[in-house]
Amino acid sequence: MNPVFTYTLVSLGGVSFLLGAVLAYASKRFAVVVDPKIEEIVDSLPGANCGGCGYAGCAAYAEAVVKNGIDATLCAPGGASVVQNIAKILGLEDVLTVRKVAYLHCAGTKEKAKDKYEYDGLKDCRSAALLAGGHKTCEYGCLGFGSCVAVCKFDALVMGEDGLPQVDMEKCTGCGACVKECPKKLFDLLPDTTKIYLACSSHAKGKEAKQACSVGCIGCSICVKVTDSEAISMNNNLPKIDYSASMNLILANYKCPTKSYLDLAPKRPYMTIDPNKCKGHGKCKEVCPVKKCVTGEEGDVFQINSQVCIGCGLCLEVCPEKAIRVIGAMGYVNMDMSQ
Amino acid sequence: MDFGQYFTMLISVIFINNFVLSRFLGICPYIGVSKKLDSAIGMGFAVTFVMTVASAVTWSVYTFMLNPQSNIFPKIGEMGVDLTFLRTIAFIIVIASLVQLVEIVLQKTSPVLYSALGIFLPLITTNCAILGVAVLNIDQELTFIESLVQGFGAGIGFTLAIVLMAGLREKLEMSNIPKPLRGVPIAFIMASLMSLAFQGFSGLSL
Repeated sequence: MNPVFTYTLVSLGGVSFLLGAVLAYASKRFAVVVDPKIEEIVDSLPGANCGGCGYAGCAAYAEAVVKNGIDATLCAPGGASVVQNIAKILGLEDVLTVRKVAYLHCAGTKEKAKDKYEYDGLKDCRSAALLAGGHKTCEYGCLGFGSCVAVCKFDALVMGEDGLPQVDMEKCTGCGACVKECPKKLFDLLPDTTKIYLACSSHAKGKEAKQACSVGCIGCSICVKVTDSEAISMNNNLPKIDYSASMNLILANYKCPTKSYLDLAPKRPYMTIDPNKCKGHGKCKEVCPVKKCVTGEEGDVFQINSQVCIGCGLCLEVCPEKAIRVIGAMGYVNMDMSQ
Repeated sequence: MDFGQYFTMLISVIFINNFVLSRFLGICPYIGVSKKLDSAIGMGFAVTFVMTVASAVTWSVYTFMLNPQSNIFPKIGEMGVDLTFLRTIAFIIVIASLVQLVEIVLQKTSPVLYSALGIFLPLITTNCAILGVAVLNIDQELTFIESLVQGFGAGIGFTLAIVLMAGLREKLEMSNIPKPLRGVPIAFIMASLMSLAFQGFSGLSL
């Protein structure tokens, strides 16, 4: 055999073996005891190192949780199961978390939101936004170049044909990358139980908003009046809504003259009146916000038209005979309809 | 070689042949870790340490294991087997495991030093500047002590360059830079200006 080959093998192999042995010995001899909890938590985290929690990576977050008692619910991609695992490892009680996903607060599709000029530049929202605030007449609306889609690591965003990104609620992990990316700040992380949300971010005054987009909020504040909750208030021509509060936005959605709200529920429950219990007080007809929903004369048996009932549930509370029942309420509504 | 010559060599490798600014080695950590003064200093000391140790070890490996003239097995030289072509791979293996070893030992014995240097050590194990100093030591046919001086000097030169850079970049954060140039682009421009400035040292007669 060629002596160069032999000596290469022997010398390099020998040195490598020696170094390997020394390293192996050192790693045992100088082993540092790490809190086993940290490793367990690292194992239970998704390991995407997305930085959504605000730490340098999953390992850094795990260390912060164990050593500094940082909130164990910060891992958005991991969701509730990870939080419960961490809580178990730390010996805490189950921490209930609300899964949060991204919601787009704009419904200005290509047809609905008008353009003010033709944009022919880089197909990127941020560069488009630099040119006079973007090519949409509405300076608050979605530009539709999908910078959010590009930044989503989880394939949870798709660019729809209508020119608006669509969120896949199943895939969305609530990492918040799109929230940061959007130059118009149209995304928001909301509890995934949110079904009705305001799909507009326009602070424009009524006339301007109406000219720019057919579904733009004109700031009429009807939704604020009908909802009657502290969680919703007007802020510079746009309702400001605290979605974490429990409230009934069905009426706001129904009353909105511009259809600026979107309802994700495939079907709403509706009410019916038990004819045997109804004594014909007519309270339900008084409170019902929908035309031709409750029919009947006082003293008679009232009826609810299931086709037009929006399921707001206002009549449930006022019926003195408790004659009204809910049909098909399978967790679509945040409010308590069990009475 | 007396002390004066070592000193000349040190000055030469720090200023005239600065590894970053004249030889353009180790640009990656130079740009990457120069955003904050603290981490730049940590990085600089880690590089200095690794360069000095690596100079000593690679010089020994080359002289006693690869070089046929001074091999610990004289038979190799007599047989005409020249293993010097293994230089690069042997250096990489030795430096990498050495740094790993230092990291393990540091973590146990000196947690303070580990948290200061530790995170930078794996980043620079086989950085081109480290490998560069090892290869240059051999190419210039330096003695063991000279290699040590060159390795140490190169590290100090790197520290000087990265600390200056970090100081400038911290100032840059506050200044009004055209948007397209913010971040790394302006850092490159500044690095080239610093490099030009350091070229001025080449007129230094030692």
